[in-house]
Amino acid sequence: MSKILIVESENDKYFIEALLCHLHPNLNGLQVDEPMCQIDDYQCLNGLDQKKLTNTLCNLKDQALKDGIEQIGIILDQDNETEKNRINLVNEAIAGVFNTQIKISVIAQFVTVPIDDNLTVELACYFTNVDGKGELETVLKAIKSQKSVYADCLEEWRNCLQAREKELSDKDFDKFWVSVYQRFDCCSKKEKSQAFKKCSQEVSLKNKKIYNFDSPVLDGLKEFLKSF
Amino acid sequence: MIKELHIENFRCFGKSKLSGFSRINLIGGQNNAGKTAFLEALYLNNLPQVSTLMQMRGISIESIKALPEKAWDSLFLNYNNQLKLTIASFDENQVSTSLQLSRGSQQELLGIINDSERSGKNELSDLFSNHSDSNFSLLNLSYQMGEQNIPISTLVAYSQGIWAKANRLLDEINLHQIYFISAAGKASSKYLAEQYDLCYVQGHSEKVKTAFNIIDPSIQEVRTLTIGQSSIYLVRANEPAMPLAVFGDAMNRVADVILKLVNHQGGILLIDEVENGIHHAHQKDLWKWLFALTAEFNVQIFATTHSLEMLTAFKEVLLETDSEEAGAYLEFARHIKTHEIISIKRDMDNLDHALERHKGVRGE
Repeated sequence: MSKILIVESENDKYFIEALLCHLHPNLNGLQVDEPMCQIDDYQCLNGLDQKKLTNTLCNLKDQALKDGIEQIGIILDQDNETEKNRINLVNEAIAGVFNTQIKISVIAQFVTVPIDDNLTVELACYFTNVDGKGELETVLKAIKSQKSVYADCLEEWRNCLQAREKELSDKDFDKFWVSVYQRFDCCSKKEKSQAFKKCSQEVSLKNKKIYNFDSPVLDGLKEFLKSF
Repeated sequence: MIKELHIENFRCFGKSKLSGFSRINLIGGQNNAGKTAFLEALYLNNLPQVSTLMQMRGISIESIKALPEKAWDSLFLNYNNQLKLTIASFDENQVSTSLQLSRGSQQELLGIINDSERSGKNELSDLFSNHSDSNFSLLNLSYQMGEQNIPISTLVAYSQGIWAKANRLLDEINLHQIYFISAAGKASSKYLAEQYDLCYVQGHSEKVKTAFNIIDPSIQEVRTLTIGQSSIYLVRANEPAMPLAVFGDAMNRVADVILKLVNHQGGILLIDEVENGIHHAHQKDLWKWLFALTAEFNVQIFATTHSLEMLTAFKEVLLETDSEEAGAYLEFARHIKTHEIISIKRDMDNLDHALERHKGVRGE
């Protein structure tokens, strides 16, 4: 019987896999499912789609009938939503897929839902955040461990935009910040000649020591992952 | 339309309730997941005759003659002929047609012989008395209609073949016309020619030509000729008419499917390994045509597949159709806890999502 984590994007998948590896090479056999959003999935760029969460849960329910799934963890970005709204989104998907009245009431606590007369699965959720809002890039910015001169100078660029009445959301800014941090601050001259291979998100997260996985910012997420 | 099938103790099915059927049902799953056995169950449920049984895998006149006492065992779960085998279909109004097969005893056989002697027909006692061995096996077929059990026929396998006694005319029971195209099956030229003539008289021959053109757009004319034997002939531009047989298995298979469909309105068509011989480039257009024809002729199709391309094409057409009644994809697998065969019905959005992410949807 397996334990599966649902994440939003490929980058979320790399991050969680890197964190699991840091916690323990094989943390209770936890696997990260294929992300809900594919890399060229424009539908997801504007935030998580309810339908994608429902489809992902539906596929896992079908898989559970064949292979057996003990636990499913749903990891979403908090973004600018309240925790309550995020939980509601998750509960709507659970109700639609499992045809149940059982609801999650708090994050990181499992509920047991029936799949059929003979099978159940435990579900829990966690929302990636820093001080109650944000997404993966917000967390990465908060746990960076190397100098970030290039990335930090983006603040000046942002101020320049604001002075010219151009808006850049925190979400978009954080994405730029992480990209520049990985691509310029943490990519050596030699690596830059093969930046696509040597400085990609996956390599940056899994193979380089440029993020502090012991940061207290990650305590909540780590406790969630250890609960499986 | 059949919406559900309950199978007990037939082949690899212990106790399975399979549901969610639509007009065209595509069934996927691993080898030995029960896909072909499922088609056989549907076939038997709607046409419980000797000829149907003789088309079942593991049953042949040679095997019956060689080992008559075990003639019917392969139909039963784990070859246990003491079990009661039930195949029950349910339509959209939940009306059930429940076929039951059970092994009969030696006493029953003696009873049948005595009854026929009392009515002055001694051929049975003559038949069996000429055989010194007592190797027979009886198979009783009956329908359960509500509280009533209605015997249909009794089949006796013995060392010279099969003797059958019909207890009840099947016409009295509301069954669908049903046809089975096996994975390796190839319809004869004569049969296809006769079927084409029938569809021509009914004004549907253009529909057959359209299907041929999906596979080979250069075909301009379809006709039947009898040169030695009756056959469908196809004409391409600047070429002589050629018999269907020289065009390859795909054309034969397409002809068989389309002709059965247009000539048997309101029936059921069973197709094992529907993709056989069909190039992937033609699969989507063929599905589109099948969707159109099944709606026009009110035919229900159950087809099995191993092919991801055939499944993907089916999904694309069904998404464009946007009608739940038009088709369904069902994945056959064993339940992780009960180990019974289950059917997992996948809606098209969900299937699309799964295929995009290379998820296992064919029993993996």
